[in-house]
Amino acid sequence: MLGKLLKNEFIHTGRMIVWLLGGGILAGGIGALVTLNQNIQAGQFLVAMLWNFLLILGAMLIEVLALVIILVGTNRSLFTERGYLTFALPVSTMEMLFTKFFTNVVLLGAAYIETGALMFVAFSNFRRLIRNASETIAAQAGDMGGMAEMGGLGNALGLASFQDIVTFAAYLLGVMLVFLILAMMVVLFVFTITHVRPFQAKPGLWMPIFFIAVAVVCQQIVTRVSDLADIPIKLNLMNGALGEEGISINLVMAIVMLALSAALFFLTNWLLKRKISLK
Amino acid sequence: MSDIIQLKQLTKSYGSKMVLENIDLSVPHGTIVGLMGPNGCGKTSLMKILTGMINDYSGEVLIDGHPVGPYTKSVVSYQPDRSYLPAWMSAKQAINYIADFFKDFDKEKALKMLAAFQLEPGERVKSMSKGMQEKLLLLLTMCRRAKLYVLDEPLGGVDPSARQFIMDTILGNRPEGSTILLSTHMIYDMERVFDYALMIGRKQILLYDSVANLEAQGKTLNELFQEVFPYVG
Repeated sequence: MLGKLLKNEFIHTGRMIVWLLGGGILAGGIGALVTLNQNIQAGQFLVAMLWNFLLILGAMLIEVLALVIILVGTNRSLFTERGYLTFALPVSTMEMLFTKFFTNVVLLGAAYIETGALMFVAFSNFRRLIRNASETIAAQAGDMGGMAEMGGLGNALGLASFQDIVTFAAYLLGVMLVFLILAMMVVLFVFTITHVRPFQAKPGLWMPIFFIAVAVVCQQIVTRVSDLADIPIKLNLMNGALGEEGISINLVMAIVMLALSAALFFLTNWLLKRKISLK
Repeated sequence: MSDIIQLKQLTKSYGSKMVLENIDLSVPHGTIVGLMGPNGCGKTSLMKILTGMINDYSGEVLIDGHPVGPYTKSVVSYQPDRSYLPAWMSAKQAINYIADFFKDFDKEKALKMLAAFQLEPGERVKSMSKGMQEKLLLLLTMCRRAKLYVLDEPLGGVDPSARQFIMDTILGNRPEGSTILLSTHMIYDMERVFDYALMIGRKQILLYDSVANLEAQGKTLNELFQEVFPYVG
């Protein structure tokens, strides 16, 4: 049944954000094409700059919209009229909760990765555009002092090495995943507890209060436990080796965050199983 | 005959307001039970408890010998008093969704009924009228070969001809040996189909007996209802 739940959840939730992700990929592709032209003219330069600026705004919008769509969808499918369909299915509350959690993490993760990729594309395009423009200015200005200096500006903005980018992206993905897992469990817990009596009457009022309270408690636990067992670990992301070199990762913090996520999962499951009353 | 529903000391309250208090009830397999009572007496709460929509209660609830959970949900077909389908879903998608989860769902029969109800497979819930949505929900409920059908006010707010159509659909598609628990205020129309009458109010079961026994006392269900729940203007 878990497989069927996951399949239907990906189809139903995914259909709501697929256009969002697809639109982002299309916009990023156009942005890259507009910028690829080396001999860009002044008018095209402005269009390309504007497009990439819009791309950054769009990337941020994708992140926000995906979050809103996924969270509103989750709340509706569990605690409104649609909950009558969800709770009537012959599945355990644990399967139901895991499905929501897993689908949301995957789809939101995909949206965040796309946002990151679009930002990267846009900033790379900016850099390329400025460098191309400055080279053109430098060539046209010849040895006209100040103008040549201005042309040098673009050359100063060198591209990062491929290895650096991969290392940074892998680190960012790992950190993002752990944060996303805990954040999603906090959200699912808050959604659930605000639909339990006596908070059920005004869930919208209680949600921000519970969200802040749970987030503060989680942050305190993570910080204090991590401080108690502060074991700095250097991880070389290129070869996965632990040692003297690489990015410093607080594995204790990551483990505490995952343990908190697991605790919230079981607590939320208990609430769904024993305390939820659909209106 | 074993019991499909067994309630022991069932108590449910909403905050300080108790709606069901220490209810004991046994409903045998293969019967049609009419659940009656004034508004707010706990009929819907009882149905929601049986179907797993309400989980914060005390006491024991057994369906076909099992506590409410994945097994009982696989043998209970529930029609709530509201539409629960997502607005974007089409009739065909709704049928596929239910067929995916319930092994006892007869998809072929559902598609035939869809045509008989003059519903377009591709039509989305949001563009259906209230009556069309009710037909679709009824179809999804009655195309399962369930052991227990829990129907919350299926006749509420419909005209007499639609009422007849709904009753014919329910009775015509009910598998042999299955039980129907149906809540209604249309006592006069329904008493001919009920095997048992269950009246709840004032947190208690006020009457639970076979319709044959009640008729032997020379009273109609309508008269009994007015005796049990006298109108105070």
